[in-house]
Amino acid sequence: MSQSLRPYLDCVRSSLTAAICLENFSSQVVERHNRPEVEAQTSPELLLNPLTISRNENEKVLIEPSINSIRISIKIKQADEIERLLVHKFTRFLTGRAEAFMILRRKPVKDYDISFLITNFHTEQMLKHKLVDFIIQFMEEVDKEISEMKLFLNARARFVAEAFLTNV
Amino acid sequence: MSHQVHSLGHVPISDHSFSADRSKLALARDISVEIYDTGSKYSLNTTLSGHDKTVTSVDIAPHSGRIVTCSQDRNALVWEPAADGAYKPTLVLLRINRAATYARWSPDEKKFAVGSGARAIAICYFEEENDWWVSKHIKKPLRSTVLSVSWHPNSVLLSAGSTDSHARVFSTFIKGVDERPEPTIWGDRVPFQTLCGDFVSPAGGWVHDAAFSPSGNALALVTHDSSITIVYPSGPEQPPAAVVNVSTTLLPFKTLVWLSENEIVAAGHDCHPVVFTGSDQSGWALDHSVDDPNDAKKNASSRESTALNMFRQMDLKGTPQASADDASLPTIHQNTITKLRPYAVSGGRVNKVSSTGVDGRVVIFDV
Amino acid sequence: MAVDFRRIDIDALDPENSVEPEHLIPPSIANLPPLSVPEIQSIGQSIRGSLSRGDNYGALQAALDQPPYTSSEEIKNIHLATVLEILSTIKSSDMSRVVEKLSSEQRDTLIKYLYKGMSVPESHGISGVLLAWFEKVTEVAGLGPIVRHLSDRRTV
Repeated sequence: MSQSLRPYLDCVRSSLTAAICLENFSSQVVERHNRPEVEAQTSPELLLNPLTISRNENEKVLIEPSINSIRISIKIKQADEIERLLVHKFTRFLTGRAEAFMILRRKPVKDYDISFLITNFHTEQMLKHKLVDFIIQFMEEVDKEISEMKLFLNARARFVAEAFLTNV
Repeated sequence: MSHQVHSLGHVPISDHSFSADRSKLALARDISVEIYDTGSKYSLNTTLSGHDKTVTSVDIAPHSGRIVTCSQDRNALVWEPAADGAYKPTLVLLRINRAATYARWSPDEKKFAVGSGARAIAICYFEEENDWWVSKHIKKPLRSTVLSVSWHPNSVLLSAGSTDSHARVFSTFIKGVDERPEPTIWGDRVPFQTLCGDFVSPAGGWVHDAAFSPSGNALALVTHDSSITIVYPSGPEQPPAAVVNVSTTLLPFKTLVWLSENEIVAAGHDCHPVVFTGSDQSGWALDHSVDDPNDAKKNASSRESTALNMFRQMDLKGTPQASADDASLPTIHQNTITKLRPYAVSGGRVNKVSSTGVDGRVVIFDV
Repeated sequence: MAVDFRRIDIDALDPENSVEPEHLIPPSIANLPPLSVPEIQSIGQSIRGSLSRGDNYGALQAALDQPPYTSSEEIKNIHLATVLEILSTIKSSDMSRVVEKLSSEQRDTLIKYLYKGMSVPESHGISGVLLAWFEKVTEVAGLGPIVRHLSDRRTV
């Protein structure tokens, strides 16, 4: 279904470019604190309308913007039980190393598989269009990686089974 | 059109201010304010460090040379220039319990206004007997953080843009400090904290910046719905004569400057300034972009696709073809422009604006 | 101690402290009366009439001109279904022409409906159509409608 992948990714790219306009905003609830408003959710006027972009019921992206931070949650396509296990292990591997990632959130938002939290400090240090490029590339490659892992898994399982079950 | 570009490090600049003769530049960067000597190359003169947290705004008063700075640590400081070029900080009693976001001297330099996250604007004036600056608060209709404040030429009216999507005009008349102002189109007898106007943009969105026109008879605001709204009031307590809104296809603007009664330049997340022209009769429209990224892309020379270049690319980046999107943007600023200030005036109109942004660059654009 | 005073959230009780949801509603639609189910259904029927007559562009214009901003969720969903029906009926070759003829406000409203459509589970069959419409609108109108949808409190 790679035909509908291009418009889907273009839609995500435009939505991200529009939503990643962040600025440094000191908390108006706690003095001398500066926290991502999309995580705190204490002031409704600072939060913007969330965007959902879906390709089908198994693949969608939720973008929740706010004045100084944006949360991007991705639901990865999982067709069968093996893919569900693989996605779970893959995201656990990544989220366990979230500090090195900088923009990764340790727990995905409910109903999604993986979440990113980008704050104004990230957009100050890194280029915004490169961050958007990264998210898009991630979405393209994670599907490929999961199918590759599944293939290798099946190949290894077949090899082990053959080796075990053929008469020695 | 040659624009002057000065790259002064990579730390984001929250605000900048030139002295009246343009010989000094104050940059608010992280927790300190740096004073540069201008010239063909900008060199660091002194650093003012009196704040604990990010300095959000800096303003140099044109005549007296005093500098006001405010920061996310809830304080504002007024720095008096001493004879030897050093600056001495004076205490300001802001009495706010949240971050200060924006500070500006009034045109007559007797007061300055500080917007804050405490849902209040502090108007500060000097009290002789105690040698400090005291403040009076404007609180009433404000319901959220104040993002910007801007003075009317008569030094009494103040516009404030806030995250509750409203741009409001207040009177900041303080008995004993201000003389009774002439009646303006915004109101006649205006005691302290009178709300003279309350405006929103049609599609909503936080008001990032609001400014009075040079005559004071119109107000322009830029909001997060990537549009600019110009309000022409008709009289006090009456609906405005005209409210013109120009929606754009660009990303939201963060700051604006009136070039003349009929021209406005705005800049923001698109990293280049954009000029709007119009009037209350004929409406407003986007005129042209300064430092247009589309022009830059057309002029970029195509790299020759020689074998040498291909191998050079493979060595550098691991892929044989030169990537279409370079790591750098085609505009001069590499990240959001956060402040525009008028730099030079000629023929009754501002023809140069200075801009600073998150990328740490100071650029003077010809508009 | 009957009241657990240490755990009272004093900031929540302070009426001046926060922006109430009613303050978020922009003044331009604050006085718009909410529509009732029969009203919205009659609008839907007249639109379907235009569709069956072949007047796709007119039907889309009528649907986008007065979205039920202040009505209940049920009403909004009914109108959403109508709009999605129109969008699926218009052929892909006609899409660019239709988008170019729309006014800038109507394009903003169209983008709002596209996003709302993608967030609703019932529309997963036509995601391809919605994404195609999205591409056409961003070709013409750039990122403006998306930014306006983000900050506009007038939700469809």
